[in-house]
Amino acid sequence: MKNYPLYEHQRVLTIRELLEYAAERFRDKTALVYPKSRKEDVSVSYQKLRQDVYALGTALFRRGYRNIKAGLLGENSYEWILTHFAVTCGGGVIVPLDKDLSSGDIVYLLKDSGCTLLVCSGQYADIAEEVKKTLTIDCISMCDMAELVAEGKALMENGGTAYTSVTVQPDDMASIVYTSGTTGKPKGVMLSHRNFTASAWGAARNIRVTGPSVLILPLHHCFGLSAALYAEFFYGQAVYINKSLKNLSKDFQKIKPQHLFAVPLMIETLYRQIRAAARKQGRERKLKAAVRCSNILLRCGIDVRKRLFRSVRDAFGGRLELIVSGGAPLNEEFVKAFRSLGISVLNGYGITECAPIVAVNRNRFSVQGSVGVPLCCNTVKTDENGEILVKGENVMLGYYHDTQETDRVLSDGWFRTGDIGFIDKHGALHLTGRIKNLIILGNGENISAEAIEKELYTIPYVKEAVAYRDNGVIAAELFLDGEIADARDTLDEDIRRLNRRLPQRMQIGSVVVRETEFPKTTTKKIIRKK
Amino acid sequence: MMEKLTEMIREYTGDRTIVLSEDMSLIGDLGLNSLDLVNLAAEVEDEFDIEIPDRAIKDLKTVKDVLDLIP
Repeated sequence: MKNYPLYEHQRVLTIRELLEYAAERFRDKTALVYPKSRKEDVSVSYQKLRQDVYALGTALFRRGYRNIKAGLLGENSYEWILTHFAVTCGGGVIVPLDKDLSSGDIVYLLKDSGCTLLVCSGQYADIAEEVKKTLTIDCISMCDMAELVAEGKALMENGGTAYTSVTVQPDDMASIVYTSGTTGKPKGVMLSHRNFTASAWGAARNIRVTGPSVLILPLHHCFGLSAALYAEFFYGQAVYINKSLKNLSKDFQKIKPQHLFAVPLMIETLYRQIRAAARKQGRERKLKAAVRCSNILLRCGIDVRKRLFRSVRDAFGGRLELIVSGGAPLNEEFVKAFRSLGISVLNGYGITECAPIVAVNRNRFSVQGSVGVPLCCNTVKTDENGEILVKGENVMLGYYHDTQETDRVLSDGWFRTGDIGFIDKHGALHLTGRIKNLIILGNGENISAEAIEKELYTIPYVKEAVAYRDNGVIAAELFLDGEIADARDTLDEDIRRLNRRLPQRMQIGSVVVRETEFPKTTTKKIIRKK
Repeated sequence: MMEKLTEMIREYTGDRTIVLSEDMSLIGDLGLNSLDLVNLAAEVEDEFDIEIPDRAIKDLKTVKDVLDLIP
């Protein structure tokens, strides 16, 4: 297998240029589809999207929201996307907020980033109310977006050019994306227009898609935004906005996606569902035999997968050919399992600080066990300790008001990822470990190990604790105070009590008790598992 | 209700013998993941003809939390 020339796409340098490029090139083609009600969907063309973005931007400018930082809170929706484009294309900065955060955390991020506006969906109106009690901040509900767009359109028809005449520079900051810091304090990653467009462009040059997709990744994560939204603007394909993962099966049937961008947890769960369905129908053995048979035929150059696994593939709408995985490491077993069914899974690697895509396997050049070849917008190397370093147009501007941390990770343009790996003879990147103390869950969420350990130390007889990821869940290894006689007996109940208090994403899935203290460094720090 | 929920959760855990108690942690004790919880919520919606808002799903931690959603 040999690498082959990259797919050709025009380089654009700002998010505004990306919108312009797609609107001019794909004009009436459908850009986005979203459910208006249970029975009705709305399609928006690339040109209409640009028109709505400019109208919303004009209305925001009219209300004085110019050069602002705006927090954005809500489920994936057309209104979310419109706001993101309208603010960034007008020279403002978006702070995307994880909707699963508590109102206290949201207040902290809005304050830390200096947001003067919060745009939030109707579902999160109560959070907006909470925020207003603590911060002096304006709030706009996404429920009022149609009115704002109409207002902006009227202004533009009357010659208003305040918004459309604005120029945005490639190195202007477009977004501050908060990511878990290793000490539990979130870090604000400043990403420019150049960063986002480089990452999306690089991904589009590595991967080819030929049909519609269903957007299932949350847009407040960089992977969802850059890969599942921005990169699609180079392809000109339609993106269906899934409003809730509860509707995923129905959306698959309706849209019949050709490709998906997903995190490993989704891919693993989809595969388990295939097996559970076969088991329910008493066809699990048949499925296994068919996979074996198909794999043998495939090695002889005979591909019968589409015919043989039609009923399995029908669960995804019947046209799914490609899943691009990112956000967390994916077990190679699932790449093979889906390949057996005729669906390619391309593993990739990214990090928020690189907006976020660094490398991804390609349609016809996929190296087993790797996260693919680096995108053309960045150069990747490893240092003497094996740490992966990235330099290129997708590397962040720095951490928001944290020059010390910025200086620690960025030198001479090289960004220290904190991940360990190597580049093989094919030029493909492999991940082998992590220096930084973060637990990356299957859904791409980063959890600080120290934050979990801090919680474990609230159990009075826990003397030493180390949290890590094991089999996709958060695990803890503990050393208990030997002087407390019934510590072991009450541990299960205390962990259960702790889990009830912790948010869902921090639930501790397994606990191991060790008999001796953890080995320590000379400065008495616990030596962690690699 | 508990019987029906046990039947549903057994499909996710793959363990046909599992016996639920109200204080069991869905992730910690039963090994479900966040996406399983979304799918479980969708099944509970269909089975009991109720609507569970997405925001409520992130607050599901124990078996009791799921039972409390069912009228």
